[in-house]
Amino acid sequence: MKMFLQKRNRQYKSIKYTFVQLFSFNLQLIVAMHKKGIIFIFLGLLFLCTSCFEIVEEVSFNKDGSGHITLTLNLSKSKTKLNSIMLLDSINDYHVPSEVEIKKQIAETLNRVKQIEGISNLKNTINFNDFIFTFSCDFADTDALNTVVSNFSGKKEAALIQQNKHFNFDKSKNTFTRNYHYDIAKEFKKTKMEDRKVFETASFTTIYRFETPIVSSENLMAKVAGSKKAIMLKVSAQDIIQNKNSIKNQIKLQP
Amino acid sequence: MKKILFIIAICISYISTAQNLESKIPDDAKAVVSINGDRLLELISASEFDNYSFAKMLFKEVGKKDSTAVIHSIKDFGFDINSKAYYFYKTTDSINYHTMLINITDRVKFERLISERDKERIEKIGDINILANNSSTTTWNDNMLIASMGDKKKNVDFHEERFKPQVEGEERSYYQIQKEIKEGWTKEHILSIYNLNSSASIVTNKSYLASKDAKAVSSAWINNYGELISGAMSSMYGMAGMKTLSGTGLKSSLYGFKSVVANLYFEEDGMRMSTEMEVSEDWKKIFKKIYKSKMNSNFFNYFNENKALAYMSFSMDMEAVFEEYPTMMANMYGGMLPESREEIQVGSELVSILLDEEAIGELLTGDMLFVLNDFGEKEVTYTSYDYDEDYKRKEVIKTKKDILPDFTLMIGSKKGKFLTKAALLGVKHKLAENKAGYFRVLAPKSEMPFELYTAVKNNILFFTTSEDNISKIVKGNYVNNVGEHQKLIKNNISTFYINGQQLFSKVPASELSRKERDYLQFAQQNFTEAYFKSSKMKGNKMHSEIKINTTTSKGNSLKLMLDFIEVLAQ
Repeated sequence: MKMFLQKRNRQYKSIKYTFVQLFSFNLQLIVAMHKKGIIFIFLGLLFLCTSCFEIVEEVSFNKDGSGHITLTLNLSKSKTKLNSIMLLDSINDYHVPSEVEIKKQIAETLNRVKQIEGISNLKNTINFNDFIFTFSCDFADTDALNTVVSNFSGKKEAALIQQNKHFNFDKSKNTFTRNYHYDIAKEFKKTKMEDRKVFETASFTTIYRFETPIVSSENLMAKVAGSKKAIMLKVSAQDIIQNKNSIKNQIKLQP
Repeated sequence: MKKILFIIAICISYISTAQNLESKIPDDAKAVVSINGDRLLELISASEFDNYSFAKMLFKEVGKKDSTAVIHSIKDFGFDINSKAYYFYKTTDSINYHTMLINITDRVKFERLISERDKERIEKIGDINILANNSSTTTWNDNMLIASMGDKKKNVDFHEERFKPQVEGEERSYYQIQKEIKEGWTKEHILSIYNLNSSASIVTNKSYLASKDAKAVSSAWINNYGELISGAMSSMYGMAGMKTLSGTGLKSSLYGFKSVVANLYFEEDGMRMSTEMEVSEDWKKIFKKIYKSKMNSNFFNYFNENKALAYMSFSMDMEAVFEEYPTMMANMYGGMLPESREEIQVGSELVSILLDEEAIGELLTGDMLFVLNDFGEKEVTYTSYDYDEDYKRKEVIKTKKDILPDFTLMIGSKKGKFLTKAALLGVKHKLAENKAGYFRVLAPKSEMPFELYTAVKNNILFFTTSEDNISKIVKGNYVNNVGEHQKLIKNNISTFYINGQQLFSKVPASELSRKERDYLQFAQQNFTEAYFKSSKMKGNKMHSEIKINTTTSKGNSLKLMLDFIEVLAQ
């Protein structure tokens, strides 16, 4: 029994880190905020089947570096499987949370985010018909976003997040940098083969909007809108895992 | 090392056959499991077993330890693989013993498995060698090995007062004393086995003797299922748990079952496990009434074996269930909560007064048949996003194909008119749509991703995902093909059947990993069908059987199972 629990904990741990590292801030915000809660609540669902899911990170920046972020986790394409799985208590050693448990964990997480200085106007939606979950808030500066991330990580991780700022808006240089410090490919190798199916068709989309036009972008896969004030980058989870691409980017804005 | 020896002993027991170790099992054993090596060696030779990679891994693992043994064969363990091996379970008020008995042919070979460090710890009493630690005690002489694990009951803490005085003035803790006492008990238990006279052994127990079957590769016998479960609960929860169960002496009939016998067979065309449970007198009368009915023959008019990947049936007399309800409640909870016996009796009889058993029995007769017809691709919708030129997103509904089950559920009911009225009420409240003679259930796609149709015909309430099926059922032109299944369903209280070949062929290989595809391929090629059946009571015995039918390609089903383990282990 003890061995089983240890194995299970290891599974959760391994899954947790892969997922967190794969989706960086989004899942740290949506998922990793509560270590034992939301992480495996969603992962418990996601890792059970060849899923299709997408994560969308939309951030609108003001000139002073403040802004508004909306994160969306869309599992709608897997809803048939999720509806079936939700009828079970557990599957493949993963606990299947009830709607009530998910709602409770989300509420607890949001309560913790509310306490963070520089975070306001917190909103969220939960749609169990289509399995779409959104989270949005205003932030005073990107440090507030990074604090949210580090606040919900372990001490070691928090220090690394502070070092490698996941979000950085440098007003003096008119640049915005999206970063993360994880070696996703390495972490991915630690997961079980059958769990990797979850990422086969998953995707991650980032959309950033600015008040001033974009001059350049380091990530060649990112596309700048005709207005020059928005940039979109859609990356498949497979590309991130295989180190073919990532959501890292540095965007230079007009002064 | 002791743990390894214990594991080896268990493994070895799977290819051992019989000598007279049976007479060393005490007559108060609560459960006995035997492994019939004679039969196993008829099915697979030792050299064939040695060639499996998982066997080689086991041998290598044992050789890797700090023993001097070099293992190439199952014979190198020194056990008599031509003798019968046993496990038995015995319990006292403080400790449960799990004991293995295996014959030894070559003591020297066996002793090579023991590390030099452990060899120094061997204690000798006469010709008996004893190697003990806190989890198990292994003993052996030239003829046999007896290994036992003592599992302290929770309620042994009640003896704290007994142990505490011994601790006073000593450096040892109460727990160390307790551990030593447990080791002492286990040792005493094992030594008593060496000296056991056959007149005090299990061979004097008629119930045990009647349970033996020479054709079985393994047999299990439980003296009293109720007592065994109560004992397990006592081990887990201590005296507090036991108190609720012990009051009236009803614990032996708490679950309605007394002795239980299970036999495992590996035959040419399949593997089979049969179980026979002896029902207590109280429950026998109840079970006889509840399970007296046979499934309504009308059900078979809507069963087509060519469209059944799997099915599950159940048949009981629902009217009798509700009539017997007060007695069942009193038997079950009256025993568990003796101080509330009167309240339980009055409460359950009140429920009985309020219920019209006959009417319920007509609404739901107690017959049920669920058939998994197919897995088919269905178009389903999902929400995604499109983005305009400024990357403002817009929600869009897209479609994709998902694999969903097609099934038919049949429930016996003599209240067809009432159910039709209820369905029409559903139509009024937009929960159902009235089609020609049947109804389509209206539910959000998110709650029910498939179409569901319902109708009542010939005293059967149908639910099915196939409009074609329901249409044919109500028009009376459904083509049935019941094959051998009618006998299986009709002669049993409950059945669960899987057509392996058809079911496996429906599993989408694209959804599986390479390893899973290998397992599937093996299963598809070798496991043809499987069923569970629980038959009606004969005398005071209930019989059930699980069988997995296999191809005969490997000669027998044991070889096939070991081949499957080989595939899984790769």
